[in-house]
Amino acid sequence: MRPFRLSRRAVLRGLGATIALPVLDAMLDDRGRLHGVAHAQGMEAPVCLVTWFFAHGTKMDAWTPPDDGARWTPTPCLAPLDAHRGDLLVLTGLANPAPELLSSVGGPHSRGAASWASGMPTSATGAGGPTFERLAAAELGGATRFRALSVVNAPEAPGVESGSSAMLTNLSWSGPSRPAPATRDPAQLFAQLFGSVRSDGSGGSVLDHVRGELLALQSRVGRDDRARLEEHLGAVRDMERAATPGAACSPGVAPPDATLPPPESARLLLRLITAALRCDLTRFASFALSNALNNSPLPWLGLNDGHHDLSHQDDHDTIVRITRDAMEHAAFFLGELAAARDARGRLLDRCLVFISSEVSDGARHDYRDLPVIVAGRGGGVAPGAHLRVAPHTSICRLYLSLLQRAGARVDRFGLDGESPLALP
Amino acid sequence: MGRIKILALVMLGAACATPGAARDAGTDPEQPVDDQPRLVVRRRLTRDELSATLRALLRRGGEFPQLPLDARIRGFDTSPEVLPVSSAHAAAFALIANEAAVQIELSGGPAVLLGAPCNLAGDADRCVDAFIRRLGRRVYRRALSDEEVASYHALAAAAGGDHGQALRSVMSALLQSPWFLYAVESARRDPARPGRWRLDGWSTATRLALLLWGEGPDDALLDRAARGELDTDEGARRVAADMLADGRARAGVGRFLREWLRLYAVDWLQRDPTRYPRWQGNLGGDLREETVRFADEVVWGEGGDLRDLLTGPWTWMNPAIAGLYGVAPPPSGAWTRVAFPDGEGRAGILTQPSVLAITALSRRESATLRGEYVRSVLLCDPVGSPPPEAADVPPGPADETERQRLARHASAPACASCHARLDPVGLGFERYDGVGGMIAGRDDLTGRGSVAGLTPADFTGPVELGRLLRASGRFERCAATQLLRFALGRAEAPRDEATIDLMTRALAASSYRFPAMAAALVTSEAFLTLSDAEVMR
Repeated sequence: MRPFRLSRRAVLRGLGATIALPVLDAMLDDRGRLHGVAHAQGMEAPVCLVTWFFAHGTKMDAWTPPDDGARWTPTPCLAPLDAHRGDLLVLTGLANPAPELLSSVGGPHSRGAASWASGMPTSATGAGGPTFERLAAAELGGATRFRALSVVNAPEAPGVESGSSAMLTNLSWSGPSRPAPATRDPAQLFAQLFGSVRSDGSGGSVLDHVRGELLALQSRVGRDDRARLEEHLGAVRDMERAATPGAACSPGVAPPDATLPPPESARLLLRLITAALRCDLTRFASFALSNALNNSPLPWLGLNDGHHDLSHQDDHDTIVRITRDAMEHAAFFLGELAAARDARGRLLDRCLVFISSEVSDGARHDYRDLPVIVAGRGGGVAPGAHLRVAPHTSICRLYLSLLQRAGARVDRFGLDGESPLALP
Repeated sequence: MGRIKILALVMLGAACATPGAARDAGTDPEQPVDDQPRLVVRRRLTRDELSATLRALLRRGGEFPQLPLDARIRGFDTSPEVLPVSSAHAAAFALIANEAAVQIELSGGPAVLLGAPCNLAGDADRCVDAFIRRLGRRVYRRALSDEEVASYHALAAAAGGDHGQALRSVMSALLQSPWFLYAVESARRDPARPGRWRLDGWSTATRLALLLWGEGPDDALLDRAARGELDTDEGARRVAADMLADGRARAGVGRFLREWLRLYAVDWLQRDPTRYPRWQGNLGGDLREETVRFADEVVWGEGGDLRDLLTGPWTWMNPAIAGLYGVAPPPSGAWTRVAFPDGEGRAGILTQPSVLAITALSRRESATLRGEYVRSVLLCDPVGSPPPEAADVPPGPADETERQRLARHASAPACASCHARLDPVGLGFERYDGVGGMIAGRDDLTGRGSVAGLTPADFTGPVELGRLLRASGRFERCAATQLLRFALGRAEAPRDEATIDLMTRALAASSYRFPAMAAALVTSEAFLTLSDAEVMR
């Protein structure tokens, strides 16, 4: 039996505020979930869920720690994260079954990336379902200004591969074939989160008019078209809510005054995501260090060749160097989340950050034995170990666990995600 | 569980009827009445179409970077399934609409936008009314109903006597209207064609303008629609001919060529300058410009023959492009037409740096990608994606040629069936490098290739390949197929074969003039009418 819970919206209406309160251990059951409405105020744990993508996988022999448990030996790829080992679960043995299905459409990177956090085989028109952080946001994201953020540290520049080009530039999907377009420029993300909200001066009458027209048109068209317009109406509602200024909260970071090279822009985007979570502007975010099939060179690593091309040249040391760079960015983000403290403690203690790639080994487009890290203590997760799961365990079982720890009421997710993966 | 399911349904945009929404009894979509027009939301306008339409409407230049990029499927951005409106889109639309509203005064006031007198300081009511009706028709791409006009007057009145705000509100609401953002089509049963629904004049005007001009109809075209000129096949033919003769057709057809030939891919091209010393800085724009100028001449030039895309012995160069060809820069420093003598190894798009570069990797050429381009883009004979278990060819000796590398590959049976159709085509390009230069002093690179399925199949070098494709007769049919896919935003169905035949014949009958093929398409049943299935969905 599922315990009865008040909806977040009802609770927040009752409180008349959009402030997230701390989760006390006593509020959690043994799976890190809240005891129904046991707490006097009936608050749920406001878990932040973040997906964190790096492209083209890695070399698993330089990633996977040789030993299990809390005292795992840092490997070349994971060494940059060593300072955070107490907040990490390194998970070995997970596989994404979706892109391997013959019914899955598109090139190997398109399939991998669009199935990455959705766990569903792709169709000709895109991902086969929502990514898990968007599914959580659909249920739980109603209390904040932004239901969810998607952020990609690269211009929208899809490579050419068979299948919908959207599969290479979107790591976040709100539903089948429905990408959640990302913000890509730190200045734009800053303005979106902390800029002054520009009013159309009409006191809401313009958007009422737009809504009226959508409804009028909807009443005159067939079923498929009504669904499409319903989606548009939802988008207008989301947009209106995002335009409502929230409580004052300092971003703690200045907008850039110039175009930044990728490493710097990544750090700024990650600081802004941290600020958005800290200020409770959103609780769900998707971050990608680059697009999938990214073929930009990495001059800051002395690599003038494109990343995708490098992933197929199979030079072991080069790939490890690129992965270390990605993990340095991940470590930077975790450091920011750990440093963001308030009366409730560290932001990282309320977060779950899923760090992974669309393939295991980029040269082989392998969807098994994926590099996976879960960081943070949100939902009562007790990190600090390297865990081996049974080989080829569906990564959707992990997504289901993360969804449930975040408080979403789902009992299955994606392909072969019928039972949650046990997390400490 | 109940709640999440409902939420998921809403979120997935599945079957969300609006319960209790008022419906005109006569247009109830569940109860088709034969003589009633039916409305279909065909698709959202693409980013490019919205941008071009806004530029024309607002009399300004520039891009609209707020708009998210659209996805491409089957190589084109016009498929309804991948043209959603997400909250990022809604926010971008609002931003653009509000900016346009604020800029009414900056851009010279309402009279300039309307191209008609509109004096807010004098007769404000008449000015607002003209703004609603005249700009409204342009934005909606049809005349507004009385109720719609009244709704905009109510919106203007909400500004409480602030006429500037009244206009701004009207402008902002117009540009966020679904009638602007979507191609909404109205069709009636076509008495001449059982089972087909004839688009009304407004809808036909929009279809024509989006395809041929890449933007919405202007006032003159809407006037012609209002006069009923688009209500007959003959009328549509005349209007289409005029539109193809208009300068805007260059932009519209250019957009098709850019999508079809994948020229968009040069925009984010990266090359390792240590491998390709001729590649300096960001040359993507130059690469595209060369091919656009070349293709523009093939389509519009005197005696232009679409097949010259494959064999035309000339190109356009600026100093940067000349550098890639390894020839002296044009003395003027500006774009200059350059003819290639026979035996130079240059002709058509297959030897242009754009195509050679988008089919290469950052450090090396790829016969597989080159073969894929020829098959998918020029022959409409694509090869499937690599299977999940596909792996790279293990690295070989450093001095191994692409031909030797792929020979090792071809011995793996799982790979051979597809690669046998791709690699031998691409190997014919082996004397051309990944930025368009010729590789000199390598006698081992023979440039011998073959296209399995064509007779003859064998060729040496891309110039001969161009001739072979031209002689095969398959290219024209593929060009027609690609244009149909782009125009209709979908893959071709068996019933489209007749239209493709028609287009191919029109092309041949006109000495291979592209506009003739486009005219055949836009006067076809597939373009001017809808099927029961399209109307009843």
